[in-house]
Amino acid sequence: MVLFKEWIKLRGWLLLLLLGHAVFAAYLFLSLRHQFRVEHPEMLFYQAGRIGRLFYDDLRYLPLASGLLLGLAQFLPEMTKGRLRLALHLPVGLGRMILSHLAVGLGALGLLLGLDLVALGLSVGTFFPAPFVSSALTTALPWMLAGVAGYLGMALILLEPERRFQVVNALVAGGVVWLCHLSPRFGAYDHALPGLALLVALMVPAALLPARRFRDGGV
Amino acid sequence: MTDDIAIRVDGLTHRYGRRVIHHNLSFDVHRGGIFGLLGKNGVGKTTLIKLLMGFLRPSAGRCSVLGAPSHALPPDTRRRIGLVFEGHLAYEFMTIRQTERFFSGFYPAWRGDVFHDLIERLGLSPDHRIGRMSEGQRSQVVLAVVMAQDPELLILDDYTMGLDAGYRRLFLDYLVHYARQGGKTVLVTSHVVQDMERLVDEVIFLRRGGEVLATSLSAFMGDFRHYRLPPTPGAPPPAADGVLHNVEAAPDGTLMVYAFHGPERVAQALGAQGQRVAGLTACPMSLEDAFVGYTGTY
Repeated sequence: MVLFKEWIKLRGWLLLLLLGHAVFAAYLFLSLRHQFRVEHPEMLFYQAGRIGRLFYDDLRYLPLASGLLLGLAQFLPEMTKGRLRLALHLPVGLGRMILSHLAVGLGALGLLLGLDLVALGLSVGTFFPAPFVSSALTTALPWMLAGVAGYLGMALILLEPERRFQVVNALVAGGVVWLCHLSPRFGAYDHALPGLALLVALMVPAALLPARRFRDGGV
Repeated sequence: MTDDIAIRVDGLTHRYGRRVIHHNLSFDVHRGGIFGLLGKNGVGKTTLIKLLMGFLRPSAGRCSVLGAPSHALPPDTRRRIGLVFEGHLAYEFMTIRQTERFFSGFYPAWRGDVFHDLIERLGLSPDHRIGRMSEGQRSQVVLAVVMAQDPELLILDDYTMGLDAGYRRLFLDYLVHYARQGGKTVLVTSHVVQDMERLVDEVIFLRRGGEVLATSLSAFMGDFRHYRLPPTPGAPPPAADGVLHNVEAAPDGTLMVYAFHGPERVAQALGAQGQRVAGLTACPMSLEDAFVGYTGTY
């Protein structure tokens, strides 16, 4: 039933985000095609392989912006007038209720980020040799994690009823996002990705703390 | 807790920082009654309701609702409690139809007949969005949602907020009929005290300083008296004491005396404070008059 409620609430935003990501995918493809039309492919292969030039750098902050927007669209209506109390009074445990909300948001965000990765893989694969595709995808994975961290960070901030903890949550989420964007170089996160993913995953159970504080006295 | 008690407040103390809202508050809400929680602004009615709803943790003492501690109500107990939040909280992005679909999924005993009966009175399409409704219309949807859950206990926090007289009456009549027919326990707060006279069996008065009076409405209206007394020239206005509960001066100087005692004892107490009691007259009063007399005008 939480899925039903969240679908009603988010469907307009999801359509908008889906359109935005589709437009970006088209832009990415056309931009690469343009580069290959005006420059010799060998030169571009050299720039990508030797110099480390990113031909898809514009994708970098799209997952983060999408995560932030989705988190805002999902949790702002819940917190306005303390409306989350409606959900917290339903005969479901607090943990299950909050995690269900996050599962819906993460599922929707995962779909968008998955589309980004497919679009990136197809675009790069159309113009570059196969090894460049896996390289592009692993380069983009930290950006995707930043999107997830942005979404969870927004949830942590909005669920939190106390201002000082909101600041702490914003700093922690900002720090995780910063780590995800620390380096744009190829392979920079090859060994750090599992640890970074774990760090982002820890933000999921962390969201239960502000929800509990809200239930125990938030407005 | 005996089965007869729906809500027990036992030695409850609650404070926000250093500010004490409730101190050592105790009362019971018995099953099957309609209870009105009354008090002036700022005495902590909403705080108490939040404590009972499980949205605040008491600083000290205990609050139990249907046998469970209010700050840790298990899901099965929450299913038996219907809450109407202040401001008629609802999912404004949903339509009436979607609202029913969502909430009915959580309540196996969902009473679709009760929901539709109340909703049909609105004369709105099931696809009407809650966010596009007036406060009164939204209050009806919220009431329909809560009643359709078929709860044992209903807690309504200031249901009158934003409602005109017509919607208040509709809300009230429906609630009374539903509660009486189903033997429901109801705890309600409202800033429109005159409505309570039609609704409640029992009243719980909260006063600043933590004093609480829990009694039946009929006993309160029978025992609490209102007297008028022309002012005595040269004498200071009488003060409340063990007999005189409250004394207020009307704009024309007439003394409004409130007490839980008959005219003889009141006259004696006034006389002891230098008042001429020849003009003392008992006056009939509504619950609103009694509320003001009991809690004071400011």
